[in-house]
Order: sequence, then structure tokens, then C-alpha cells
Amino acid sequence: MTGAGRDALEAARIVVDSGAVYTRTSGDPFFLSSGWASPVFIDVKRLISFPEARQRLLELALRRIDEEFGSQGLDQIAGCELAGVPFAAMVADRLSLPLVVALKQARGFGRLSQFEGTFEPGTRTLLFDDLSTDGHTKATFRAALERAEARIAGIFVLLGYNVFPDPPEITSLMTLADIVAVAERDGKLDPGALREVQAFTANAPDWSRRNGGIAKP
Amino acid sequence: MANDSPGSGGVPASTVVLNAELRQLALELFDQFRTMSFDGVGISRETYGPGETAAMEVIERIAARHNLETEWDAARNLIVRLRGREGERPVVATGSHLDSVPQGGNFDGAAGVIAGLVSLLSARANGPPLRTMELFVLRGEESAWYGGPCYFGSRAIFGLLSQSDLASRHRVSGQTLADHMVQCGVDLTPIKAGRPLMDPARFHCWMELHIEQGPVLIAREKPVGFVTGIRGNVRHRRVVCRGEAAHSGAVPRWLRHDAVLAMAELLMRLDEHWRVLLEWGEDLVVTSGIVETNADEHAVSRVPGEVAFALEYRSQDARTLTSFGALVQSECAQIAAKRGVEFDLGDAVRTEPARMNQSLVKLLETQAGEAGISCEIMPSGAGHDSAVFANVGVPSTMVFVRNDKGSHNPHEAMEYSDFFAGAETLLRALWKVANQAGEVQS
Ligand SMILES: [Zn+2]
Repeated sequence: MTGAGRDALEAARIVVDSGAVYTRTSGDPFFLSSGWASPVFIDVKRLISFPEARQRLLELALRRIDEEFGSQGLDQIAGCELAGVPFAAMVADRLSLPLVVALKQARGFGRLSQFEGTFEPGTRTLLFDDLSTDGHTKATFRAALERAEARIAGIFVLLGYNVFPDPPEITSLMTLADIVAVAERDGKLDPGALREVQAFTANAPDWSRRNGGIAKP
Repeated sequence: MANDSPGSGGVPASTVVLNAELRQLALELFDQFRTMSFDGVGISRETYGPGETAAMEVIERIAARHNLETEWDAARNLIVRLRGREGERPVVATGSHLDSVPQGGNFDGAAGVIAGLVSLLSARANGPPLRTMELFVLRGEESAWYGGPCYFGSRAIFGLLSQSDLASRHRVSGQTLADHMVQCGVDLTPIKAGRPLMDPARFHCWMELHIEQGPVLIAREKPVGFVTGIRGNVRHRRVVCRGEAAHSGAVPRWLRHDAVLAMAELLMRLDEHWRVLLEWGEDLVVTSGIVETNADEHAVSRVPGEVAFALEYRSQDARTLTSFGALVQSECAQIAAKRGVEFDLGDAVRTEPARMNQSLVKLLETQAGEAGISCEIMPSGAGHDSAVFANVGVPSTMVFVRNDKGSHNPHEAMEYSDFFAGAETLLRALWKVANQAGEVQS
């Protein structure tokens, strides 16, 4: 197993142990805002409430960011409103880099109307968020960075679902598959829930269609 | 399901079928209804209106011609009856409504009435069942004609119409529901007094066939579905937001009390709550289908001082309805304080979510399985008369038939082969319970 693979499983265990994994196998499934139905919902942002877990997750994220992008090659970190912001702030602080907040919607006019904080055109920016499901909202933030004339070094999330078609280019510390692997190994999901979540990870569009959600983007 | 008791007898469900003659009759009835009620765009049969009555009389004539008993109750619902061998036992009932929304489709409601009629005719040909079987041709199921309240016919049966229901005004004529009921020959005395026309205990069970009004059966490629529960709803017919009218050029932002912006903020906040609640797996839909500024005073250059809008939310979970209601209240209060406006939520009409009877669902599933019909077990997003029966304690369920273009529009697209799959399952299940002496288990 590669270092990144080991780190992914360690990160997944932190998420699982924090109680952030919720499953639904009877009644209504969870619905993502784009309309995908899912048997699993992972509340990554609740980890900000656990200092030790949060710090370890941060170490792992920093190591992955350095491997992938080379921390020296970054000029600033942009945190996605809302849950990306506290994590991005911690990363920016560790790297002694400037921080901006990318907003879900622009407010008023101007190059920086979708940001809190300031930066010059050409700034090499890492966009940081806690979670990416189908990558829909990341596309919005990416477009905002482009309008603000930033150079996009990459997009980094703590957890990428990585199960939907046409994923945008995103680097993730861990994926849903890592979460499922850990939950299975540690016996953290009952067999019925595990089966459904595995079926979802194997073919999310099909699972969604069969459970009242959309079937394609 | 009910236990087969000794001597329950009767022909087994597998031999009770919709023969070619009955199928032909069903097709002719759909055609006849379409011709009678076509309004140039779609089908219009007004709640407690002449078109509804005419369609009901068609059913009455056919039933009478085939020697089925017919009866009009005090609310002018039509009941078609096949007497059982032991007529004093609680009856097995089916049915649906015959009104439609304006420019609606031909299958919404009518499919259940026609399926029920051919079921009774088929049952009659097999000799009298143990229990009496009844077809209810209900009136006034749709909410479109009287601005929100609905299920008038079925609720009248159980003494559940309120004064505010009866005072609801027709969207075109402006007359009240009570006026239109009287014009259809309704005796208002028991209805105004809230006296039930029938005791829920006289019903052994209730099963309604209806086209599906959502996309689930199409997506899952199943011709029929059996319903486990029906969403309840809360309807505010008319919420009024009052601010202060002002000149649109002269008054700066911080001095405005703009009613439309306040309403827009409320709706967007509710939309955000809704998005998050869905992520957490709650069942909820939220709609504001009517929005109006006052035409006597609104103008391009005037800050709106008042706006009225409808607000409806539905859920399968009564607690979600209550919690969301509390959210609406608190958001209104916050926005009112922030923007210097007031929200008057007006009257709210609440219909409780209904649980369908699990053993009836099982029975339908078994009957479909034996007939080689593939099916889906599903909740109903839309409301139906069946919720009224279930909520007074009658063991109830529904058969949904796949339908492509939604409903409440002229483009609803039900395949007749799917209709017959649903009707045949309904018939078999009705026949089965009509010949069982035991109670329906919960
Ligand atoms: Zn209907």
C-alpha cells in the first residue's frame, strides 16, 4: 500500500470514529442538493468539534497537499463557504500562506465580489473544501476563481465521494470507498447498511435511480 | 392478512379475471368520459359541478343495467353495491373521484372508478362473495376549484367538513362550496352538523386504484405500485406580508419596508431549510404556487407595501409538518423584525399523513405475484381520498398505475396495458378479502 493509501485509510478511520457516518436503508434516502439519492451521508464538518482528530486530519491533509502540489508552489489557500473555511484557515496558518474565503454567491460587483479577503490576479491558489459529492459546487467556486483571475493550482477536499459520472479534477485525502473499507473492517455498519452503501459506491447512478433520485447529472 | 376461515368459500382469486368484454367496457368508458368533459385543452370536471354529476350518472346507468344496486348518499357521492351472501358483515370498498382539475387529464380519478366498476361486474359474474362489495364514486377530491381544501366527498362521509370548507369560494363563480353542493342536490343538514353519513366500522377495508402522479414507476420500470403511506400537508391559502408602500426613487434602502423582498427572503430561507432537511433524510416538499401584489395599487415605480402568497408543505411524517410549521413561524418573526414588515399566515388547513395497511399491501403484492405482474412498494407524494379513509381507521391501501407525464395536466400518459395490470390486481385482492371472514390485520 502506498503512503497516500495508508493516509487515506487513517483519515477515513478518524471520520468513522467521530460518528460522522450516517446511513439510511429504510424509508427515504438522503438527497444531495443536485437530486442524487444516497444511502449514506457523511458529516465531515462536525470534525471541527474534535481538536485531536482535527489536528491529525490536518497533518494528513498537509502531507498530501505537499506531495500533490508542492507547498512551495502555492501563493494562497481559498476556503469554500461554509464548512471549507475553518479547515482552510488551519491549513493556511500552518503553511503561513494568505487565506481568502470563496463565497457561494457573488455580492455586488467587481473582480473579488465572490471573495472575502483580497489577492492579485495570477495568484496561485489552492481551493480547499471539506467535502465533494458530485463536484457541482466546486465548479461554481472554480468559475469564481477564474473570474477573479486567480491561477488555480488545484482543488483539494478532505473527502471526495468519487462515485458520480464526469467528476471534475479534484484531489481528495480520502474517498467514500476508503470510508466503506474502514467501516467494514471495523464492523461499524450493520450488514444491511453495508450492503446498500457498497451497492451505492459500486454504481451510484443506478442506486439513485432505484431509490427515487436522479439517474444522470 | 385475514385468516381463511372454514366455509369462507367462493371462487379462488386466480379464476376471477377481467375478460375481454369488461376490458372493452373500460376502454369505452374512458373514451366516453374524454368526449363528455373535453374543454378544448384538457378534461374539466368541476368539484360539485354538472360535469362531475354527468360522469357519475354514466356509472350509475351501467351499474343499474348490470343489476348492481346504486345509491346516492347525502353528500351526493354515488355508491354501487354488489350484495354479499352475508350482507351484515363489514363491506369491502373501492373507488376514487370523478372531478378533475381545470384542463386536467382523463385518468386522474376516473381510472380508479372504472377499475372498481369492472371489478364489481367481474365479481358479480362469479356469484355473490361472502361480504358486500361497494364502489364509491366520490365527489370533490381536487383542491383546485375551491382554493386549497379538498377531499370534500370522502370527508363528508365521515362528518369531517368544517364551516370554513363549506364557506370556501369557487375560483370562477365566487359562490361557496355549500351553494354548489346544494345545486347538486346535497342535503346540508347532517354535513353542517358534522354528522357522519357512515360509521367507519361498516368498512372491512378500502382499496383505491389511481394513476401515479410522480415519476417513480416510470423510473423503476414497473407497471404498478402499492402504497405504504400518503403525504400529509399544511396549506396556508393566503399569507399576507404587509410593509409600507413608498416611492421607488425617493426612498433609500434603509427606510424601506418592502413586502415583496421580505416574502422573497422568507421563501429563500425556507428553500435552504428544505435543502438541508433533505440531506438529512427528511421527507418534505415546499411550494408557493400563488403570489400576488394588489393590482389596484401595484406599480413599477412603487415599493410594494403588500404581497399575498400561498404556502404549502407536505411530508409523510406528522412531526416534520409540525417542526417545519414552527420554522415558518420563527423565520417570519425574524424577517419581520429585520425588515419592519408583518406576516399574517392566515388560516392553515392541515391534512394528516396517512399510514396504509401493511397486510393489504402484502395481499396486493401476493396477488400481483400470482398474476405475473411486477410491482413496486412505494409511498405516495400526492394526497388522495384514501388518506381520509385510513385516518378514520379503515384499513386502506392504494394501487398506483404507471403514468408518464405527471397528472393535473392534459398530457398524462397511462398505457392501458398498465391500467389492466393494476385493475386485475385490484380485482383479485378485492375478491380475496370479500371472501374472507377474518379481520384485516394491521
Ligand atoms: Zn386524483
